Amino acid sequence: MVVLRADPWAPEYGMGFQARLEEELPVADPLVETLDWSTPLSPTPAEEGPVWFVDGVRRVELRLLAEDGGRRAPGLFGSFAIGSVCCDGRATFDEHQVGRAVVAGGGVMPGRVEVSVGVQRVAFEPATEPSLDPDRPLWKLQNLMQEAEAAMAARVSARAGRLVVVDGPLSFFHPTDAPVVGMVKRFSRHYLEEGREHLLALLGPGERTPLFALGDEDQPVQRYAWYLRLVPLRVPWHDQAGIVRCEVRAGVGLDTAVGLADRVTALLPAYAGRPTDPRAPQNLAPVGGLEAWLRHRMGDGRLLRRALLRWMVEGDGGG
Amino acid sequence: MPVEPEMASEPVGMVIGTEDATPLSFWVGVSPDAYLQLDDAVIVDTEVPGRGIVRIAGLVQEVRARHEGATFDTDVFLIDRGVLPVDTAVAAQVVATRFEPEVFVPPMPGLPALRARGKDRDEALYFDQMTRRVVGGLSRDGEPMFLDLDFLDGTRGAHVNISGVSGVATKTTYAMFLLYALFHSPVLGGYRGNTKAIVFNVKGEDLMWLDTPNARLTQAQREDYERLDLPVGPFESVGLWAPPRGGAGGQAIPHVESRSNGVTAYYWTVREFVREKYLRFLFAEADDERSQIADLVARVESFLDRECEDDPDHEATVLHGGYPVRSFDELCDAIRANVEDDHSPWRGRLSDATVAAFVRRLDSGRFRLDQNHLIWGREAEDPRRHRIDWEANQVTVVDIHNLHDRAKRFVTGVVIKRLFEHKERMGRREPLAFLVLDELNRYAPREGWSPIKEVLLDVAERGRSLGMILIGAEQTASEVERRVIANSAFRVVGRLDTAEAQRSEYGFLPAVTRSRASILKPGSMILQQPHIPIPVQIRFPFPSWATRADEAAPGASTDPFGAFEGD
Repeated sequence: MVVLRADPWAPEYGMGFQARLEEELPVADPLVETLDWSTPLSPTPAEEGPVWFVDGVRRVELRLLAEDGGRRAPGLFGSFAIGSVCCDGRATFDEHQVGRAVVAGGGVMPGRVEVSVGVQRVAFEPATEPSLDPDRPLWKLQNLMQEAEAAMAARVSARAGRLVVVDGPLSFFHPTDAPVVGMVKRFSRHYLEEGREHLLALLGPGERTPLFALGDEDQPVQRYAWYLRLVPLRVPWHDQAGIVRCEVRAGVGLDTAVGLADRVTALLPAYAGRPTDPRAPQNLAPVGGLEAWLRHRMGDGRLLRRALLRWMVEGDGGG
Repeated sequence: MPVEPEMASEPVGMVIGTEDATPLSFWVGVSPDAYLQLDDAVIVDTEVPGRGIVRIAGLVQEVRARHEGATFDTDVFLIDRGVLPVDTAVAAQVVATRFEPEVFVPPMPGLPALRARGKDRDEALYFDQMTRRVVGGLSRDGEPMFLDLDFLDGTRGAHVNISGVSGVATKTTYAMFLLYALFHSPVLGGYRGNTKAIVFNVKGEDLMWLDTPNARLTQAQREDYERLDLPVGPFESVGLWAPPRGGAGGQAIPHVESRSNGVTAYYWTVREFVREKYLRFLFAEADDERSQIADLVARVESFLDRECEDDPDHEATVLHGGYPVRSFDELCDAIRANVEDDHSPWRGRLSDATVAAFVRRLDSGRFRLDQNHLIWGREAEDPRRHRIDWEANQVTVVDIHNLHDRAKRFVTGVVIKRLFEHKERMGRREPLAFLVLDELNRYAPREGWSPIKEVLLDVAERGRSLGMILIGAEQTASEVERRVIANSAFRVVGRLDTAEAQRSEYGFLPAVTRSRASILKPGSMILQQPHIPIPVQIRFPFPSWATRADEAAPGASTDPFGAFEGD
């Protein structure tokens, strides 16, 4: 019998909060589109047409310690919400979905937890992680969210070849040939050697680098990626500010990838994040709006936390 | 009986929980496919443990719309460009008017709110409790609004007070509409025919056409009358009176510019002046005058009445000391001679200063009455025909707009006093007599005392039991005697000056309504009546009687009518 006990600290404390997929640095091939990395590519303005933005948010409701016989493992109650925005001249919220999980590490599988919040019943689906690393439950929650996000992106794009931009790198849960573009805000890895990375500083808004392929030793071309600049460089900024990396799956084929790169590069500057956004300009305005909306859809964290603590008292933590 | 579809209340949204819902005021989130506008009647049924269902009815006091999810003012431009997704929320604040049964609880968030129609609307506005009701206009949604006759005819209250800026507030027009509604619906029962109204025409000659249909009424305006169940037409029984024109010999010709027939000139005779004690209305100026001069006026009035005999040679004049007093001038000379005579009993022990002040006022008053030919002596031919006769017609219009200020006070004072005394003698309320008087601030000012103010106060305070109903109007209620306004059961406000609207006299208007009062169009009023705890904006139909010569002309062009257009 797995018993769950709360950690009284607020969930913002005590956990590395930027859970990251621990990947090997991929192999990059910069010569798939062109050999010439001296000047930026300026695609002509994009054709009109709707674009969907897909994103998700997550929140740890309560951290916990799971006990199964003699085994103790870190865990958490977490919520996530994913959704999409359709921009076709008007920006409207499209489908969305809320998920909740009770995650424990160390291979301990907790039971399903259902609590009452007001008149509503809220269920946390069980999940487990083999590792005992205290950050792993959060990583798992992130994973669950990305899985759902990828599924939604696939669903949205499956409808008559729509252009879908997913916030964050592409995951591999739902390999699809659909035009799903991943957009990475954070500039944390260097895929290009210095000589070519130099081109990033020269990019103007709506301009991109040539495509480069990303993969590994066994399968060197898994994704096609490129950099593009969203807004004009401002004086106090470093020259790689305002740049995002986009990627598509190699399965779409190089020609389609080039077409998508041109279209997305011309399109995205119009959606650059508001200067008031702490992650401007990379956090696109529709995505910023969607995130706030989704966070709201997860419900009030204080009420959930209170309901969970009450469940631990009344339901004896499942034990 | 099946409910007609348009008479069934329809869901428009639900009570929101992000604003406090209180028994007196709550917010309704409006569904995207519905709307609520100011003054709409709304009902919510809320279940109270142990007490069953409580129906809360109210009126929309404020409606707001906002972008949810937008945090900065500039977001609206991003939203317009289709970049930033947001939701649009519309919510309406409802002020409760009624609880049935009376359990004062707030409606629970999430409960459906319905726009009240038909019977539900009647209940929300207490129309179901009005046994005798008269239409007072149309609500914002085009439904009839009723007034409770019990509060108008003196049963439980009386009097109407109307405030608003001259020219755009359409105060007199609304007063006339009320009279029209009263006289053209069965609400007055058997007394309808005998109910009378005296209307003073203080500006222009707008009211000199009451007896003529309005040729410029459009079809839409006719439909307003239909909705109110009123006929379209003029007042049927109207007597029009105007002061006489100067220099016309013994024939009194009415001084009216816009029409030449159907108007009778009015004046009083020297004999009436003496017998009815009208002297005081020559002194009808507002000052703190309960004192010496008022004393002297009363003495003179009584000496005049006692010492003057009827002139056997002319019905308009009197004899004083055996000599005929042939004109108003001669009468004033006689008064002057008597009060200035140290040995005359007329002046009593009053000081020379008081007498001098009296004479000064007498002279200026007589000059004004003479100027307007209001008191006639021997030159009068058939004076009885020129005595204002309010019994002859249902509506009697007394035109005073051409008169000098002093003469206006004299005429209104005399007419109201006569009417009041008449009602006093009758000793019963019905049939009612309505008195429509604009520029109340001139006749019953807040500061000072005057004989006409005294008469108006009498009307305001005792008229209720005597069946004399004052429909008073003024530009600024703050300048009118408090007791006159406090005795009015109905308060009506047209377009108000913004600064005036902030005064305490308009405390019955909630803040939002005060702001609305400064943008009201002609033909729209805010009506406060005893039954409904909050004031409601109404509009009333364009007059179906003519208000100008060109509206009276048969076959007048259908070009709609300047100032009132767009009601």
